[in-house]
Amino acid sequence: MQTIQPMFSLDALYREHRQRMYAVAHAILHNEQEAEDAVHDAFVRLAENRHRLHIRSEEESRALLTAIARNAAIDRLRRRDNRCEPLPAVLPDLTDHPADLAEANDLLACVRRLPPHYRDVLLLVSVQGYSRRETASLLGITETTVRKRLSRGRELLQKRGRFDETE
Amino acid sequence: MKRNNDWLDALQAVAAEENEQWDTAPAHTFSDAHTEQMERLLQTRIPRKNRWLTVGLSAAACVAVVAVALMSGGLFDRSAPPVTDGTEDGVVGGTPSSTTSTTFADTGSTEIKQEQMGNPDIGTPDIYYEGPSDAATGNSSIPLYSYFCLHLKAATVSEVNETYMAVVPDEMPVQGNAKKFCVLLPQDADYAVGDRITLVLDPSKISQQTITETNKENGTVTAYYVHVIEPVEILKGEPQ
Repeated sequence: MQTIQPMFSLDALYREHRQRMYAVAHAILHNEQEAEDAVHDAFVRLAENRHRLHIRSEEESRALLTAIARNAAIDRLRRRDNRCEPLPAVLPDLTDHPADLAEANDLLACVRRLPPHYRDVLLLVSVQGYSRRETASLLGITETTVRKRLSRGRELLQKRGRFDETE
Repeated sequence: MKRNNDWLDALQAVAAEENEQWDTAPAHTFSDAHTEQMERLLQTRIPRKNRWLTVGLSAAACVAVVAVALMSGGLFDRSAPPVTDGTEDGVVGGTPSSTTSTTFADTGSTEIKQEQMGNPDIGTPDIYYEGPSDAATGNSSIPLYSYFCLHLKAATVSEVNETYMAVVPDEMPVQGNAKKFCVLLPQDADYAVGDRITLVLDPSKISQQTITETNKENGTVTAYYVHVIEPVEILKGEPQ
């Protein structure tokens, strides 16, 4: 069971990160009130999962809250527009442009081109060490979706020959 | 098969880039409805606009002063009877209320007791300082006992870390910069819960370094003394 870190408090995270989270949500929703509501949704999710959080650094907390805010905004967009695949990727999916994939030489550029929903899952699972279940709970998606995005993200990176993992 | 972790580093780097991008977005003024909604969720008061920055900096300065003093504290003999005492207005951090000084005959040292009344509505804690004073300069030196009054808006204390006997409020965020401190309690500590949470220790069970008093009027805690130890100090060794 994760030990509660005495330094962690939701209100501190809110004051520190709310502007960024709002900016992320607004970029997706293009509506001030809905973006604020998405920030609230994100913190509801955080509050529900606070016992699973193991934030080790400022960078991790920023990445985590950005990912949660993005997913909360996408959920709202999904409900608003009744879409099944509402993922407004900031960056183009590599598989749509196999020629770009072949031309991409820089790993950083490759990762940069990953759609944010793949990148978020990879970041939380592979870098920050959350389990699939924890990641699903934090992002408000199902474990199946986490597995799919993880698999897809790794597949995209593997095509560049930079990811080589056995499990 | 050898694992190539370059992509992990790249992932972190891209995440950091993205964070930086969002950090430069124009600041948004949150609506009152949102702020009230968040206050209900977080069970804390969120100052509007930039008032928090001023309050937070003042509270942070107060807490930092006492934190440094706590970490480099020394022994102070309280057994000698006071020779002289007096009162005067003093300053502890932001907005103090009073200072009382007491001089001890055997050591010639002076103890200062200072009170700073906080405002729980905006997140500044009450700070009560007691400790030796530099008789030559009249300035407060390193205190042996420093007290924080933690005003926590909540109904109950919901979690106790049994390993360190530190009380960490779970559903109730600690206000102001007192959030950085855990309160170390001895075993079998008693809690008094009122309009705000108060941490009351049974005087018969506490160690010399920890003293508490509570004064409760009309169902509301008005003052109490609690010895606060930073979590890092708890982890380093036996509780004081």
